[in-house]
Amino acid sequence: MVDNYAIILIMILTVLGFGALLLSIGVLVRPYKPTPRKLQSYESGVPNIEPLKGRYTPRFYVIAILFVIFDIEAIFLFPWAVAFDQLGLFGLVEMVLFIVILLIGYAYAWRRGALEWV
Amino acid sequence: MEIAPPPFDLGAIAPFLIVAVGAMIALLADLFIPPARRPALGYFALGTTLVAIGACVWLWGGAVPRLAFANMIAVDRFGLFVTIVTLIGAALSILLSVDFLQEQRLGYGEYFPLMLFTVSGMILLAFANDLITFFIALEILSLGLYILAGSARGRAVSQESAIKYFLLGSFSFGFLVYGTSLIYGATGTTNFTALRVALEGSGLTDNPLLLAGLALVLVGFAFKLALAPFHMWTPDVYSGAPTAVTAFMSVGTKVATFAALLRLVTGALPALYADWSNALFALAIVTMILGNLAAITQRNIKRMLAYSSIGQAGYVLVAVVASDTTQPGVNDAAQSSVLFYLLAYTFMNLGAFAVVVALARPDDERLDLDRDYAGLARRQPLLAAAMAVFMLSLGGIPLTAGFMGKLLVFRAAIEAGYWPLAVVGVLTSAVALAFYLRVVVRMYAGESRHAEERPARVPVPLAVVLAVCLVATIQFGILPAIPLDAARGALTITAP
Repeated sequence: MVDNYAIILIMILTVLGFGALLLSIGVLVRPYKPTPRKLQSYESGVPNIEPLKGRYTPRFYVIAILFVIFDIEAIFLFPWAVAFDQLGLFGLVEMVLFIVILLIGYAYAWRRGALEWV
Repeated sequence: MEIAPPPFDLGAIAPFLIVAVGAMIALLADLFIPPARRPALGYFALGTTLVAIGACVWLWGGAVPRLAFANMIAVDRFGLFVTIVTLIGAALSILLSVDFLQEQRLGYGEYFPLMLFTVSGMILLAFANDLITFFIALEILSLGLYILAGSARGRAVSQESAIKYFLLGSFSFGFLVYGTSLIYGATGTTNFTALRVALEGSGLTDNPLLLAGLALVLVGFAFKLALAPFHMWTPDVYSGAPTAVTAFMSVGTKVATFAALLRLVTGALPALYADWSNALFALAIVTMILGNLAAITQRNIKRMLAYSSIGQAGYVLVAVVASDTTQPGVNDAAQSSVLFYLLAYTFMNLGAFAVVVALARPDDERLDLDRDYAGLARRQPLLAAAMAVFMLSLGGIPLTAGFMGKLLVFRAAIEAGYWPLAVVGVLTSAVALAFYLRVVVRMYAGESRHAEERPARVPVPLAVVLAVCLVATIQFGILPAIPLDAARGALTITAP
């Protein structure tokens, strides 16, 4: 019992030590010439402070939500594929049903224009 | 290695399948029919719920009770009764919505498919015999409601309602899932039947992990049922959502969730009766007092009905507390009173919301009690009379369904020895009359502000809803035998 936790403790110490090591090597090796612009969180991006009331397009969210849905579908497909020969016809029918239900959602999203990036 | 799939008993979940498939057909049909024909989808959805009621009646006479899908689903008369009540509520809400959506220019969009998906969640909730099934059902139900609450996209209050409901609903799911995982950790199962077997005569009942799990699951339930002190979201969500949606969620969600609560505590955790009954006892008292007192100060009819629904949930909870399975007589009285109250509540609450819907104008929802309800009896005597009946029934005046419900609930509480609950219940009912009767007084004694305008025309579907609710409210109050016998016949929470 205690031995199991000892392994976790060793891992935590290793991770902490390794991280500290890499960071200190970085500090020693890299040049340090700060400018105000460099000190921003995202040096090469857009200014990172803006009024919160600005409008932003919901398209990103629609695409992100669709991505999550079909991503989850793929997650369900993997274990089914692994156990395909054991599940046999039953598994196939179940999975086809599952995909058909998702296709209804897909058809819906397509027809409603959720996939168009105008 | 051969993996044996569980037996495939589609007949057992027929009502669920009918509604779910109907929802998908409606979703696809929605894409291809012109917007002007969208009301037809409402009637399609209505037909779906009626077919599902038919399936429930068929199952009622069939080989129930039985367990299906590896014991995840319990098909018994208890679940069927609740499903029928839910479906009646859904059918009436759909009728309520058809003209309301058009008049308020809300657009139909995905309204009816979403409503059907939500109903499918409620049905699954009534049959859930496993914490996992229960969780999934509650998730289906809630996701649909979040969107429906925000379906008046142009109105800030509707958006606020949806966001608030979504955030707090998700938060409450956290409690449920964590509680479920603790219960699983303590007992090694999430199945209701297996839980009961595991807890019987075992030393597990004092297990702190199990008790913490139970407490967290009850918190999740309290959020969903809007029991005080977990009710803070209710007034805002109920008043912000379009009235037809509020009507639907105030009945359907409560009915199905109460059924799930009763199935969990009496079907799976009778061994923990002392623990959950104490917790629910406290919740019931706080809920009855807070819901009814807060309703008194409301000037907006939807907020008032929201607080009223909190108080009503408190009365149902009284009967849940009294469901002590070690005393079969008491338990039967308590559980049948839960079922009867839920049925009565469905009709009287939907009826009250139907009147609110009938009064709404496109530019003004007419929600202010002083401004819009004053003098209603002179302009629209029939609507005012119907509203008066629903208010009296919600307040528990004799000869109405609400009175019979309260009578049964309080009698069950006294039989089980919970006289403090009955006392608080009766006292808060008296307080509640203050705000229910105020609506009646305003309607009959007030001076109308809209005297010069033509009375609202009540569309036929809405008139049907009002008539059904009115007849049921009065009939259950005078002759409660038919629903009560059905409720008594529905007490077999599956325990094979």
